Amino acid sequence: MSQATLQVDIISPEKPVYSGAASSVVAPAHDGQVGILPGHAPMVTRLGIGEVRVTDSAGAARFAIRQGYLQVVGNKVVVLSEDAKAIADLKGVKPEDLARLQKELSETTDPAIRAKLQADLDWLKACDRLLQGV
Amino acid sequence: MAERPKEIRKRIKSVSSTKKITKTMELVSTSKMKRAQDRVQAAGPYTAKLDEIISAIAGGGTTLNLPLLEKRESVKKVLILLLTANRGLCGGFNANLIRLCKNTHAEQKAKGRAIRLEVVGKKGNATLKFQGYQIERSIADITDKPSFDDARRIVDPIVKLFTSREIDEVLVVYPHWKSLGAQPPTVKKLLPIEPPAAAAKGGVKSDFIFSPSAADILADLLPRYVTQTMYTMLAMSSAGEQVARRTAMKSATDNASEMITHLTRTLNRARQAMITQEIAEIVGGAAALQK
Repeated sequence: MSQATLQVDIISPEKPVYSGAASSVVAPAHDGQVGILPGHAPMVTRLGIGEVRVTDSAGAARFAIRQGYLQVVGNKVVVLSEDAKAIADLKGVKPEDLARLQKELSETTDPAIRAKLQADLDWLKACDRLLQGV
Repeated sequence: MAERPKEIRKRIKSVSSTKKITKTMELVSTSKMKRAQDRVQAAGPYTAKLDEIISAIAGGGTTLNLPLLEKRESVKKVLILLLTANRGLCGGFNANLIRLCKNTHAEQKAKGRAIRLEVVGKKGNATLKFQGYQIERSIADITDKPSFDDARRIVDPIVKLFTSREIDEVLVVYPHWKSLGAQPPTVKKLLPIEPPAAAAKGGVKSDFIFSPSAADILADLLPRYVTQTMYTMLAMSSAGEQVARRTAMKSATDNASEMITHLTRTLNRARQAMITQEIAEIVGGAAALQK
């Protein structure tokens, strides 16, 4: 079984983002990082915001994910996310956007809008962090 | 020959310039159609996977009380959402959708239900408004390339109305993309969500680890499922529009070609008649002089 590989698909509503074989996947689950190796038990988990790292013998492919779901069945890993982009495709984050969101967040009190703004802010921050390669 | 060659030439010119326009529109729609078709197909895997996860949860035997799945016992108010194009010149595309929408409207009314009508696209909006329908919400800024955000924008208020029980059922009238050759106008029930077919198979995959709990995941997943369904329908609508426009413009181009052939023939005949007449006159004149 040690030679087993994972079949990984990253899918967004508008198009499949990635499909390929891998030896391991690390994803940002809603409550912390989750690592998946071949032979993982069937699982469905909610994802947070951050980086999905797909590692194979040639190296690692990295993707930015904003929420979504990860499903493991057999040796197949499926990542569903409404916002999924290869890191190379990310656009730079403008500091003024960050500042604007921060300002809006401090001014709103409606919890639903706050949650959305917070998510937007986290997403921008995550993109920024990933782009800088930290 | 009533018409003079000069007039016929003028008509040929105007028909050829119309033909140039329809030909160009045909080519534009052809390339847009290909991209729109790709978009419909690209949305497929996501929908399939969502279906799969929802079935895995629903099939796990968990009984869940979720508002989006709830079938209301007495349906009092129905929301009908009509998807049409923003532009015309696409044959019967809009007209067929509007007709189906009106039939559905009448059907629901006959059942004694109150109706809230929402329309996407300028064409449907203008026609129905003109015919005296009351449109509660109209969305006209969906482009040829619908995005997931567009779907979200359409669906979010509808889901809110449904969960607050102002609406008991949501029907969507849209062109269902079966293949390149068939996109029949279709009525689909968006809400309450009909459990995916696979769910009926029952607890096949109940050994999943769910994190967070299955109920939490499903509660979060269902609205996404609705949005995704909406997105697919928008993509189908835009693809269907392009197909319809291509067909309409192709037949317009063919008609123009036929008309040009016909007019050219008439022109030649008129020209020959004129020449014949001139010769006859000259010969006649010469004969008169010789006397």
